[in-house]
Amino acid sequence: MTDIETIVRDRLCRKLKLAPERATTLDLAEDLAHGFGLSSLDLITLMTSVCADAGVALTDFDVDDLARLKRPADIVALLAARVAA
Amino acid sequence: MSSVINALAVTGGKPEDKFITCFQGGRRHCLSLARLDADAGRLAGRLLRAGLKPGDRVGLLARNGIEWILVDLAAIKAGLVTAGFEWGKFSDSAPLVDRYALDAFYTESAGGSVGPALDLRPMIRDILEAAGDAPSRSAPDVPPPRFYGPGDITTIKFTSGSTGEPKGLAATVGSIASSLNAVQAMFAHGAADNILVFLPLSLLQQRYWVYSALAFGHDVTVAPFELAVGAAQATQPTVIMGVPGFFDGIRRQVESDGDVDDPDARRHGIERYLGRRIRYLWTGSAPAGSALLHFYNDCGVPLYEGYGMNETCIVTKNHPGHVRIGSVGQVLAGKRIRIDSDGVLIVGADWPVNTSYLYAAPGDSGKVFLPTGEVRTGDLARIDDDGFLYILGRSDDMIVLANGRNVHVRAIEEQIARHPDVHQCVLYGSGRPYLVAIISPAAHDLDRGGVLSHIEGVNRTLAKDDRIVRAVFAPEPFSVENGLLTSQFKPRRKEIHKALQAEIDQQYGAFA
Repeated sequence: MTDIETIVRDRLCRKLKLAPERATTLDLAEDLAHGFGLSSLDLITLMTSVCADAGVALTDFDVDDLARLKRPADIVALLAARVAA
Repeated sequence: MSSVINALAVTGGKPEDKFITCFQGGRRHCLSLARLDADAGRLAGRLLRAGLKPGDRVGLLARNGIEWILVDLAAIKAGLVTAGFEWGKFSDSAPLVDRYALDAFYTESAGGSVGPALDLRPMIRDILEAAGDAPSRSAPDVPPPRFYGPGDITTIKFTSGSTGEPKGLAATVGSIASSLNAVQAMFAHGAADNILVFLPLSLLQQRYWVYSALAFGHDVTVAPFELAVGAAQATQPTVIMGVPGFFDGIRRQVESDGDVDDPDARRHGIERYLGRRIRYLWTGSAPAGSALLHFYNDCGVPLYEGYGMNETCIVTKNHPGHVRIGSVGQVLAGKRIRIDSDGVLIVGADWPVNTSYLYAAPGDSGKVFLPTGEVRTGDLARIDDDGFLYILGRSDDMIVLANGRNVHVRAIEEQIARHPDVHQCVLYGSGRPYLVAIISPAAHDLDRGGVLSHIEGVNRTLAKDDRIVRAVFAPEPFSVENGLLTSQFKPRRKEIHKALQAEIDQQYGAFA
């Protein structure tokens, strides 16, 4: 598991108010809105926390980048690409 | 009345040391207000040289960004009338050109056709790419300053109705200037301020804060909704313009981050998202609810609720030294309020927004704009002895049950939404024997039993006919994306009822 994936799992787990030990069992292919029940604002605050932990500025992303985030795995991929760049 | 709009129409004299910062395309665009003003002056000159004439219409279909602001300011300088269309609500620019008789168009859509209208995209690119010094008022490429009277029109705004064609409303210069002057008297925005705007610039009131920056000399930050929190963290605004749904989302995040009982800890939690320089937060457009207001105000982060609508502009506002939680504040200078015999709020103004709609079905204007020049808001309200206004609900939010009993649903819905697992609640029951609650979930692992117990608890405080008999849990939260919330996070009641009609009908069983 990469550092970015750990961050996303941890922050999503907190967002969903789940016990910390469930972080490793979250399905990263699940739909953020329909599966996890996140609103668009929930996604923004989740991304804010994830970006802060990953040391990436949220404003480095275009709105279209954020609009493509449908699953936690998408967040991992977006952040990983930015950190690697 | 000194006109803010006339100050914007003059090119020159804007501060070099105050800035507009726009977050877009993964970049930060930062311009001094003097440079912004100069660029808008140049664009105004090019628009007129391209053949546009004062009074011609300029359409805009774009997300928040520097282009929107440049076109808007240039239109004011050139005497053109803007028509801003909400990005996401309208997708194709060409039909808009025809329907609204547009002479020029700026669309962010790369391949968007603007039909016979003048396409502003190349012109905007040139202006933004050209570096330049602030020109004097007599610079040859800047048009001479226009003078607007209070009855002149600079823009057409569109109502964000949930169904059908949006109604158009031409906004008078007098209504814009008087509202901005009254707000400035209440909040004294000045050199130390930076106002963050992230709601769509197609809403005229969001452009007010750019006008305010240019007229009163303060910084302003503009971002799309998705980057609002990132922009706040990056620019540390002193004022944030948001709807209750935004501030409630921050509240839920702060609560999920940790302890919020201690006021200092809660304030620090809020500052993690909104920055450390907050002087106050502005909200309106939808009810904030006293729990949300207390969450912020009780830890020293003022959240001021106000009231207004497209047809009235800003009417009342809580402001420093004049706050009553639960109210929407006291009336602004230049506005008058009264309650009619049906309990509905009527608003008068020294400088009305207008006296009719520009695009609307026959009869629509007469339902809202009274022969007295006042506006019938449709909101049920009361005014206390000190002039604070309280909104009790929409007159059309009142449900008449099958037994003829009237139920004001708003206060009940707010009580249900206080449960942490409830995102929003909408009640249904018009013409039915009892009320059914439709619950938008706020949590992934929704505690249905807990929510139902909460409803039971609320029921115990209510009269028999006001009680909720059944509840429907929506499969996903109401959102702008699924069409169940407006862009200002207000529930689209008809769409919600339509989407869950079968589940609602089941709740009535033999009564259905």
